[in-house]
Amino acid sequence: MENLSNLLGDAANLMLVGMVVVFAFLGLLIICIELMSKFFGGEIETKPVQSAIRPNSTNDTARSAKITAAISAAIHQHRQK
Amino acid sequence: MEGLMTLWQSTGLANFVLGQVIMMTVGFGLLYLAIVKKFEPLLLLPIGFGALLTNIPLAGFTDAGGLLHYIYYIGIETGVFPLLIFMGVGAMTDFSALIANPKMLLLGAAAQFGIFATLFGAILLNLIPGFEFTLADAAAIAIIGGADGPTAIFLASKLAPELLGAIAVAAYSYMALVPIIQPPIMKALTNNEERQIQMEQLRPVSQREKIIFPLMVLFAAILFLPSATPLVGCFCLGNLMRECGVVDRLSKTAQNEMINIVTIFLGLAVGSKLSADQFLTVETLGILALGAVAFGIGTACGVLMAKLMSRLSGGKINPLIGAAGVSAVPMAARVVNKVGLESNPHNFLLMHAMGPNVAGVLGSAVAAGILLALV
Repeated sequence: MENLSNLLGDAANLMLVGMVVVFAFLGLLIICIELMSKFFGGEIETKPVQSAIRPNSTNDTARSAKITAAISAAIHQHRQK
Repeated sequence: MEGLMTLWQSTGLANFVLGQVIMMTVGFGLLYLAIVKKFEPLLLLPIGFGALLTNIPLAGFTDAGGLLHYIYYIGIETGVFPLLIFMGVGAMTDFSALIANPKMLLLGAAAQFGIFATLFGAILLNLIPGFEFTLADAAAIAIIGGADGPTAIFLASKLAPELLGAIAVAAYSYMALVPIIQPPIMKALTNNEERQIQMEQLRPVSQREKIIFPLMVLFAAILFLPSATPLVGCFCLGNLMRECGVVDRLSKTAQNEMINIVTIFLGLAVGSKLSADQFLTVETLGILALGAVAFGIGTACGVLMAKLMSRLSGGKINPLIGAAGVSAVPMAARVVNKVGLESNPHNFLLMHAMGPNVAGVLGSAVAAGILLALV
């Protein structure tokens, strides 16, 4: 019985310490997030990818030019028949 | 004649004991829940099948040298599987709802009261003859209230491996039962007016914030709660892979192939703990009951905290979202959305509930860290 009351005491202690630490830790995170948003939030870099795409797109036009040429050649051949 | 007798002796029929039959029925029950009722099928199916395999007479799946013995030893005793799952979950989690509204972390913290109250309750159960939970057992049982499968398995494997089967089954069953357990509690603690509160749209979050967030969480854990860093660290690694945008291949692997493979083996290993001698005890009943209590208290505390915040903010927060503080991502958030829609068909709370929902994951990892450090 005495053992049980000891255990209950431990459990109550753990409950108190646990909740305090959980709140303190997550509270600290709240402060950190707010600070972070202040320094790094705001502007949303929407299109950082565009520059990377551009060289590709020139490639694409070159390719589509080739394709157009091939298609018109095919049409030409077809009409000649 | 003697040959026939020997053959008979080597059949399953001749060697079944009652406990194995009961546990196989439990295994079939889990398969039924997974396949027909679609309750957490990804986990209950391998767990149920593992329960079948482990109770086969003479096959020795869980004896030294058996397949399940090794899977359990490699994956769970070492704590590796739950941590890998956590990495995958991190790679699947989008924190932008939380970063846009960081106060939601308070809801994730409040809902963890379910864990610590249950810890107390588990010790109180010792008053009933037949129960003898130590503080470590009680802590492992209480984490069911965190509503987070991998965290529960991780903590149970460290603190009370002999209870792991019951704890894992309870944790995943209650996570599947979230849509049944939570709504009555949520409705009892709020009135219709409160449930109709519409919340402001969340601000967009920059990619830079999303990249810094996991690093910041990890850093805070390193400084103040190193015992939580196995869980938090894996989670943050997964999340960083997702958000940084340069390792899409790794992020996709963590979200799909890796977590799927680990889930299969994690389920089997948990199922291997469903052997008659370990599961058919009065403790299992106690664990199942305590798990339900833990869930209920966690939900109630989350809602009450949200009510308080709603009052303080002048009615800008819908108290329902507090219920999502008990992780169980994304089921709890969906339940919040559903209950909200019942009161006001134009009020979509899903994104708002994702904030406390992912906060709950962090909260239960932190709670697990505290229990590991103090018990």
